[in-house]
Amino acid sequence: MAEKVERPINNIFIKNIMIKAGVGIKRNLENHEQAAIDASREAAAQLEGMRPQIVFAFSSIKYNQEEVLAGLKKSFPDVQIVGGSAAGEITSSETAFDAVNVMAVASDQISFSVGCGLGVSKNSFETGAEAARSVIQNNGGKKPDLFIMIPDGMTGNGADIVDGAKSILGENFPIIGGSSGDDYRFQKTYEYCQDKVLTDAVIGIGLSGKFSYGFGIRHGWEPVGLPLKVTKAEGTLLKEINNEPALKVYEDYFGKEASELTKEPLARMAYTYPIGVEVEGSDELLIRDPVIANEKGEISMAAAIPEGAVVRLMIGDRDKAINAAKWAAETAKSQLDGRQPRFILMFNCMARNKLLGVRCSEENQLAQSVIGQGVPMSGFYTYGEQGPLLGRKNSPAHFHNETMTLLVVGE
Amino acid sequence: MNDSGKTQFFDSPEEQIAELNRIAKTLVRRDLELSQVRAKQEEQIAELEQTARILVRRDAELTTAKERLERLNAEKSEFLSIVAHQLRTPLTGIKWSLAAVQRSLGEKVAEKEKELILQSLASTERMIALVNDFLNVVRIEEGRITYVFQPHNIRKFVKETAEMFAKSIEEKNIDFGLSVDDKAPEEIVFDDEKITIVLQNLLENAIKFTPPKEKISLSVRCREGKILFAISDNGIGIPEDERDKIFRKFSMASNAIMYEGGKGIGLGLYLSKNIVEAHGGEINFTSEEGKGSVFYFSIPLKTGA
Repeated sequence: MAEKVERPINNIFIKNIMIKAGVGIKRNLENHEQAAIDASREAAAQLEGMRPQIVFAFSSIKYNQEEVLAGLKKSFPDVQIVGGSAAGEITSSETAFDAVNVMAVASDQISFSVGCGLGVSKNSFETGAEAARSVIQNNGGKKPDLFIMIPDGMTGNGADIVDGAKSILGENFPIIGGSSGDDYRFQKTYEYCQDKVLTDAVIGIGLSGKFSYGFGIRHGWEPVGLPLKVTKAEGTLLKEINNEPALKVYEDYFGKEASELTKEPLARMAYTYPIGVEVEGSDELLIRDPVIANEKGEISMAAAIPEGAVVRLMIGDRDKAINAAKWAAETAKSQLDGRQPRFILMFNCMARNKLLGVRCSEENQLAQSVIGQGVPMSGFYTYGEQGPLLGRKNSPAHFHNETMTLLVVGE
Repeated sequence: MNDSGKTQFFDSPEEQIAELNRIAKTLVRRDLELSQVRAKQEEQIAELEQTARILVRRDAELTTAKERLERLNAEKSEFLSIVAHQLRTPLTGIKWSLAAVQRSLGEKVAEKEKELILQSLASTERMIALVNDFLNVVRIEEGRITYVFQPHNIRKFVKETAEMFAKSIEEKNIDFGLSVDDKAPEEIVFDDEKITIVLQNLLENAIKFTPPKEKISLSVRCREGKILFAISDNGIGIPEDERDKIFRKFSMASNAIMYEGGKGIGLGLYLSKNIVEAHGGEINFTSEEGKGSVFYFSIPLKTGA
């Protein structure tokens, strides 16, 4: 470990402001632990000998998650580790779907406190709250300045998790994050907390100290057809729309039989045609992804839509989605007020990858170039994103789908 | 406007809404179909790209392998050439020494020693011939063989070549016939040194594989602007299933190997074919196992002018 950079000027020690991140991404389907070790080595090499405070890791589900974590622990024995399984791994250099992605952050002016809550499927609200509470506890009883969350992407109510965290941190507390994925299998997702591979959990990361940050959140999807009314809903289960089975909307619009829409996760066909909910304070509709439909024509959503809500079917367009990503990056950058960006965390909805197809890396590269080439960037394709509408500061965080969600941390 | 392009009026807002709804559904359906088609296309493109990448990689591997083989082959030829040259000099030395010993001993030497010296001489000559074959093959493969095309008296040439085998023909008591077409011109253009090699090889084989007291004939005919040499024998013939490989390098018929106990190395016919083809001619044979073979080759008939 190298000494911190300190320069004597006129007998006064002036400490350089220091936030440094390194990113590594590697594939090795024969040796999963080695993939994590090699990615870690690549990330660590960019830290110029400085010891990282925290490691963010996102891995394809093609890798045994325990082996990935073992590789991370071997590489960074006394460093805090957070992360989760993904539906795609994103870095400054590439967009991959079979890799282990590692970002190590070293800083002497940010302290990172990690905590977690367990049991999303039983009580999403309480698990979100517990993640926030344990972060505060590990931060010496103080609220951090910024809260990053990585909730489970398959279990529970995405919106309740966010509300739970807000109940502890405060309504307008800056919260951002992304839900874990599983390479579009829609079976089981994992979260990493220190030396444990968890599932059904919410990971919380508190950032405290001297730093700036910017949020950028936008999707670019547009409503189509008439407004529809949710007439029956129970938690995340969307039962009836316009007094008919909810699935009928998709039968009508897709021109398909209900049986075709229930035999495999509805998400596979519908994730680029989600449900939009009008919300105050945003020119974009808040999106809720359908995940799976049952024989009764009820749809399990990624987050609850309350009874009585007016919804629209949403439709995506490649150019508009890419423009939205650009807008998100510009917004995040502008919030730094001219301070140097030091690292980027990208939480990019898996539906965007499906919509953009071969152009999927285009928006990732665009976001990178808007914020700054050379700024270390790490992220993953998510099953849900968290943050304030449009990334606006001092406004409540929500659960999103289909969004490009960006966090830029600067000096 | 409706589908036919005419302006459509609605009787009620409900009707208008229903129409808008219908349009929205059509739009979503089309979009879904298009996105599915596009996804399939992109998948196919990705597969094609993958295939292309594999092909490029294979091509690079093949090129490397080919270059390696070419290098190895060049090294092999060079090695053979060096070995052959290095062998020829001492072999020639042995041959002349043996000949000198034979001459100086004259009649003083006992019959048994005389026989041994003769055998040594014959073996040495055989080795020199083999080394020469090797050298010629190497030269052909390296493209280093040069041909000197000059007019030669065909009757004299054939006669002289056949006379080289007079002794062995006599020893085996073979009925040897030689005939040259009356129509053949006096002088014909060819490389005498190289055609000698071909005739030597074919006559040597004929004598080798023909039992004593049987027949061998060498005939030269002029036909359709070609001169045709044919050597026929009553020898062991060539098995039918081995006829394709007979002109290949290091290739010998299995019955030939049995018959002469593996003395040859299978370069003669390969060399002959190359020489004949370099003259713009063709070489071939007919054969019946146990009854005999006819080897024949033709070269274009060119006279001195």
